Amino acid sequence: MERDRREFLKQVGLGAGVVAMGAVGRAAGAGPKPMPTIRLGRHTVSRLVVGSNPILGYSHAGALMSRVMTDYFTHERIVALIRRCLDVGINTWQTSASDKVDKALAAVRTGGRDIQWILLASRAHFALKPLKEIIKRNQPIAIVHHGGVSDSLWRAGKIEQAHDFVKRVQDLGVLGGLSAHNPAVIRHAEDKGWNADLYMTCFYRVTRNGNELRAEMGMKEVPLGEHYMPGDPARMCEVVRHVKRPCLGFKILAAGRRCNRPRDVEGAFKFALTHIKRTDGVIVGMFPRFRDQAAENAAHTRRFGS
Amino acid sequence: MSEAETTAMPMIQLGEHQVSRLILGSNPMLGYSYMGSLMAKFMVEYYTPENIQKLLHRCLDLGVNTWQTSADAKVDQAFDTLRDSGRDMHWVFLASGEHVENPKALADLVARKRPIAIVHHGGVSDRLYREGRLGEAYDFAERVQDMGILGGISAHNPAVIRHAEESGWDLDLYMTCFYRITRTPAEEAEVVGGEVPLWGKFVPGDPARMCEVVRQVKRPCLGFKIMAGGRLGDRPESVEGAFKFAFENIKPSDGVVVGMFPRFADEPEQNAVLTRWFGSLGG
Repeated sequence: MERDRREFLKQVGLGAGVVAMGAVGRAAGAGPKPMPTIRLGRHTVSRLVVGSNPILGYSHAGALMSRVMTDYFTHERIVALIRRCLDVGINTWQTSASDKVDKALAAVRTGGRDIQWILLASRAHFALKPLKEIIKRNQPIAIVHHGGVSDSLWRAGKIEQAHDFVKRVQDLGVLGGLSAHNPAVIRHAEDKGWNADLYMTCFYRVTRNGNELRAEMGMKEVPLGEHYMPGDPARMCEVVRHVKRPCLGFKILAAGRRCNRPRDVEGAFKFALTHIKRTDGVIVGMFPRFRDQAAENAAHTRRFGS
Repeated sequence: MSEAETTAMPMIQLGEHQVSRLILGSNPMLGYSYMGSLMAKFMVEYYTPENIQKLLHRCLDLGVNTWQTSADAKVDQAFDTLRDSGRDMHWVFLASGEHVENPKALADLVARKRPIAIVHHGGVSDRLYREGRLGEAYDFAERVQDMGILGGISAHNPAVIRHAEESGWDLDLYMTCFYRITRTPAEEAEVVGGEVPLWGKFVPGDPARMCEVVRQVKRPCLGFKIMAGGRLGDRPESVEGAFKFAFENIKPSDGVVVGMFPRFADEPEQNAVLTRWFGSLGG
């Protein structure tokens, strides 16, 4: 609790600092507001959660960009990003399991600060033993079933396996959630009365296969690359507003496709934070090679998400 | 010595010039990435004058003797440095803006940098075609030819190349984009069928559509964006597949223009090897 209080005081104090930086402060346009927060169980979580895809080299923009990101994110730079996030009021980090993450969490915590951790679990941590081990090691506040796997299970008629996993997590005293790219998965879980603690909801259904793109989206020729359909955010947000549980929207910037101009980034934050519930947040991966993205994203969250 | 350095690079003829079938492009070094502004920034940052020189020398070592670029101060400087070092590359200049509109600017550039060919910019050609003004591109190419330089037209839309050929325009070469990325939103929706994904301009049927026209025209064609602005660069087999497709579907008298970004791999060598494998005229 003492640690939470310290972080909160830093947030409030930092608000003024961010505004004093000029462009970011003017972009916020509303003075030194604290970072808006939501509740996940007993935890107070900043509405902006820092993601991890750039850190782990999941660029979703080709192997070259992934390589550039991996090359950039040394241990020192990961720790620096997390500290910068804490400085600007972001108190939660969502990641997949990774040695890089383990080491960075340890370094941040050893340094006397802390960031709440949400684990996105995939097959390596579905079994009880590895799940217990990672909980003991890194103390996540929540563990969420991987969205790509959820979508695959849904397609295969095996989505109950994800439900079983969520219950297993909850039995271990940790918040259990379900992630999905396909809004139908979230709708199903809610309609079936799953007692999940949270959902992670991808703004783009990037898991559609070629057949689904043709059958559901009416595509004649499927363009090269991953498929970020412009209508997907509205489709997912409709479900997000429909469900009662808190949702963390992710890929709100379409894995960098909405980042070419500052106004694109601003528009993506505005859309997200005005189309989800007040009890929801967003997860945003950051790559601060050329810009202070943590401060910029925090300013957008204060502006549109307060 | 690697395979790429010991086997002869296949060549084509552009006018009186012997040109390697693999031509070095310039989009990465000029920051024209089709994978977003972040990647563009990385490319610009990487391409210092020193790294450009390394790439040019590496290409020459591997038998790539021609460079195709837009006009840019970086290119000017790189040619000066290269030529001062006692080596040289043929230059194919992709002209737009000032160099199309202002004959003096064009003459100055020609006198200064001695291109072997000047080609009317493809994005502009496509727009002029849509507006019914493609004749302006031909006028430009004729002006280039009047200066004693090979004159050509570039296009992303195969219909532009077909129109030029059917009109009997006496051009020296074409540059032919493998992907028609200049479609309007309505045209994109038509070809894709409804909602178009973000960054969804690279449609897989385009290379075959352009190559059909490339094989029909008599003049040499330089195919470009054969790797779909990097989208086919993720795995070695997709790069190999792109080169194989290109050389199997263009004429023996045609070549390819490929931008390179050798930050993590020796792309000049990889591309030279693939050109020798698939582009050797006897093989």
